[in-house]
Amino acid sequence: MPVGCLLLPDDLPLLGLCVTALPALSAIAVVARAVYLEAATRRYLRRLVTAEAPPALAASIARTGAGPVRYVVSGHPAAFCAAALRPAIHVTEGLVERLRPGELDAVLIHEQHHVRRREPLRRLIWNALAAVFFYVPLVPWWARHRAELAELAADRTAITQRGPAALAGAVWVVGSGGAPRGAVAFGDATEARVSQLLGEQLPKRRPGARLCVLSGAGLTLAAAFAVCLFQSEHVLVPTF
Amino acid sequence: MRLVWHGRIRQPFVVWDVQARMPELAYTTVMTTVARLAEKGLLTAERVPNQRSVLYHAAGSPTDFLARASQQRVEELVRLLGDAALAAFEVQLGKLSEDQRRRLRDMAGR
Repeated sequence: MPVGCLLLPDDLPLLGLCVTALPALSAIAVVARAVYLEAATRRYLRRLVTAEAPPALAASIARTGAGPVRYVVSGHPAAFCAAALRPAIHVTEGLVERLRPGELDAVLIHEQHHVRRREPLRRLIWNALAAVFFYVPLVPWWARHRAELAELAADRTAITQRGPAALAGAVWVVGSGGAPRGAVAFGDATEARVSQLLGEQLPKRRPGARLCVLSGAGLTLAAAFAVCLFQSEHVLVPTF
Repeated sequence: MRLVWHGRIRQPFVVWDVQARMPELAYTTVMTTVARLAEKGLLTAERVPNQRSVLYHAAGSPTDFLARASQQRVEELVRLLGDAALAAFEVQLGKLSEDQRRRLRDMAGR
């Protein structure tokens, strides 16, 4: 019996082995990537300086019922929903100072939608999948597209409850506040979000034929590689 | 920095003032540490005319330092993990056309 097969039943076909081992290895890689990202996020969150919510924010929280909300001491105007398991809304001092009450409500409603839908957890999982299955371009594409759809859905909730002007004000202030360097990943979502706000037709997002072909090729190559890997183990390892 | 912030070292100070409070450390060690604190923006350095010594002042209070550090963390958090692990209310108006920017501003009443 080949050494490499000592732990495996003799009758398990090679293809079956690949079908079992590849998803298992991929799953381990996805979990490892997700754990790493979540640990990095928590490390950053712990280092943020927080304070008691000022009256303007406290009033907005009371009006919208959003929570949990952390008030972050920072002049940079930003709001985000973070932490995969226990998501919380983070709002900075710079944002609260610049926004009008209705605009602040719109931001909290937008983020509360993410909290309810556990968006950080979903984003974490999809990002990990995109990183592991980089050779299937459809996966990273869907991860980005899905994130954009989530932003649009959160915006629609804010528009329904506070009107487009309030959300437009918040978008204008955050956009004018100077996005952090390198945050290009949000460029596409901005375009779609503003189009939705202005009542324009949303840009069509469909995976192109090239993306589908490349994904098929990537998947086929990965499967072929795995089969070769296991086959070589059967052939090359000396038997007793 | 705690010694400076709590007034145990009078400002402005030179490296010798710090070393006098920590005699167990070598002068060069203290000098390097003080210079790095100045590079990080925690201290401001001022060269004394016609002398080799440098006078140092605290660049701000502990609260200022924490607020600045927190701001950097927020920016890093959104930049590095924004599209991966958290849902940030982040927009880039530079991506929009002039017409879209104008209409968005009108709608916002800004």
